[in-house]
Amino acid sequence: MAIDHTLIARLERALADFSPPEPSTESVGRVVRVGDGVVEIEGLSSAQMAEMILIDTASGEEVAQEMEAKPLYAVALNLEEETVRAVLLGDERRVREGSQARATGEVLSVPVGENLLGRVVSPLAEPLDGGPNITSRTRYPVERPSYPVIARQAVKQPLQTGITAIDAMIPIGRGQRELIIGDRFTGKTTVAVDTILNQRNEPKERRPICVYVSIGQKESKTARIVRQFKDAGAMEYTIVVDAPSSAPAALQFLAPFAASSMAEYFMEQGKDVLIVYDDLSKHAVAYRQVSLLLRRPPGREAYPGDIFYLHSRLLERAAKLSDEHGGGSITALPIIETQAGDVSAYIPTNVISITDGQIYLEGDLFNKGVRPAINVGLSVSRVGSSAQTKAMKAVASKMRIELAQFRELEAFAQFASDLDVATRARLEKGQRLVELLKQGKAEHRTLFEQVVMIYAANQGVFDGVPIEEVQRAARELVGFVKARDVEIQKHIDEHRDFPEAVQRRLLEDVFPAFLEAHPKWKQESSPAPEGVH
Amino acid sequence: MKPKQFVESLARAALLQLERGEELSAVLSGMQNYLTRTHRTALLRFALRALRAQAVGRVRRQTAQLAIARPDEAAKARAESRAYLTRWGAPESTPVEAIIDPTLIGGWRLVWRDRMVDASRRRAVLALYGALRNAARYDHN
Repeated sequence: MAIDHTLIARLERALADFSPPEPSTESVGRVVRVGDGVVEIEGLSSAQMAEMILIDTASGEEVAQEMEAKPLYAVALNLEEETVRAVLLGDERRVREGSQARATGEVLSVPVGENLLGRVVSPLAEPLDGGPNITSRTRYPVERPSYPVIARQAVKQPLQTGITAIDAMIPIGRGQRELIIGDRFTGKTTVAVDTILNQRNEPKERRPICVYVSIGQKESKTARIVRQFKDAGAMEYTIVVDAPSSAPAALQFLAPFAASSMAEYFMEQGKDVLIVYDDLSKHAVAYRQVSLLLRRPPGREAYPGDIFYLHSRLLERAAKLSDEHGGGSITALPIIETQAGDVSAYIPTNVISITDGQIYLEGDLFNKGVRPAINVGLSVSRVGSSAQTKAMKAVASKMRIELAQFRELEAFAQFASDLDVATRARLEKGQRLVELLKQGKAEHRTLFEQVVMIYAANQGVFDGVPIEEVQRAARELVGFVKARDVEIQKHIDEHRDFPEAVQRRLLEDVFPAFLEAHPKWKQESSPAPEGVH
Repeated sequence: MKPKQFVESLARAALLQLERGEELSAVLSGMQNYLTRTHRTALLRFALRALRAQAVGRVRRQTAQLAIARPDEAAKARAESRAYLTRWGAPESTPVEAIIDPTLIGGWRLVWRDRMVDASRRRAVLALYGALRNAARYDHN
């Protein structure tokens, strides 16, 4: 084995610079009770809130054993008159009644930096992927105040999810908080994961760093998602913070805050970050468990009184910073699971009131085959078209109106034969739009593809296409446009707008040529194109 | 008030009386009379248990624990640790319970109430271990 001279030099330097620490007074306490992940410590009169407390598990043992053992920390969360209650961040079986507890003088912090990219870590940044330990000279506290109003600017830059229904009608901007809400098995995680995967289509200088926080999930699910990221090459710009259902409730409670600190490091470098909290319902349950064990008084549904503050202070850390502060951003996609579609329950209403919009996924739509199962009527983005590219703005508003009209008329679909021609045409158009908005898992559409498909649908290009063939027709159209006029894709990709000249080229040249090439899709009496917008 | 809180409060009051110099027998009979008057005689044994626990805790908190690595270091350890007790405001009469703990390697460690000072070689060895481990992980230059 080759001798690492650099390492030896570093060790020699450390030895030369070392001087034994001077004895100094430390604040200590004694564990009087331990159970359910909570320790009660007598003494520690100078403990501060959220201070890290080191539990001495090696007292009376040889020093070599203490070197090998991992330090056991607890976080002080209840400061009472004569005792301190702290939640353990490790195995409680290592704690004995009478063990000494030492105040470290530091609040809970995590290492942050570039070396977290591509890693799967615990909320304390311990590696879970078998890789080396995370070492970083920079540490951020887990609890940090959010940026004040003066340090922020309006959300203007779009975040492309690659999902047409979202990018067209519920656009998300960089720095926004957009809630993904729905029942179990409606595709919430899929929407979030597909958004992360789609970021590899962004040019490197514009690509956001992604953080996926798994809270209380099955380890098999997280493993499957990590595999998806690796296979798609997304891990190079992604951090996965994992607190599975088998982790102590304290770690599940800390996970999103720790991940937020990791994200804030990049935001403060002027970069954009996308953070997914999957999911905050389980986070609320973990916090409820910790609070009940700390004997805090239970409120509605046994949640503690500050459950709103838990999520509001977490989500307020997502922001778009002003140019003076670097211009970085954190876009948050929190996920909430509802029961039987009840969005008026306690935790869902809390989070809806905090976020800047929601994407509502319905089980009925999912079962009907509309996937992503987004209920466009109930979903909203409060940032709106400010977060859309010019290209998408040019085509999306018409589609939104068509779909809204279709939803109103949908109830009459069963009477199709009794309706007038115009109403029937509107219904069929709406059905084709719904079909167009369906997308497979990990099937990402670039901005160019989305704009061309929506524009074509608005202009009635698919009006002669059977509904079940709309998806195929749209894909073939995109390929046709790329082959016939490469400048159109180049313009949309580079300038991200959709000027009249480009629209005219599509209307007057490309679309007619496409329909000539596919006569079975040509409607016999096609309505005249509605003109350039 | 829950019974547990009640007996702990009663025990605390009894302890205060003892610290003021009252006789143990008087304090105990006073406690019994009070419980009889308030029809809570069933709580007497719990109150006595709480009084004992609080008294033991009070003594433990007032006593300083001095762990010494080797018997031949005892005199030096006592002298050095006394300086710290004085600095912390401990009365002259504070009892010091000394034990031999060879795992300290050398030196001593003093604990009084919620304060500790560790002047053992074990602490120095662990600090050296930490410094070398950090140096092995990354370059400080």
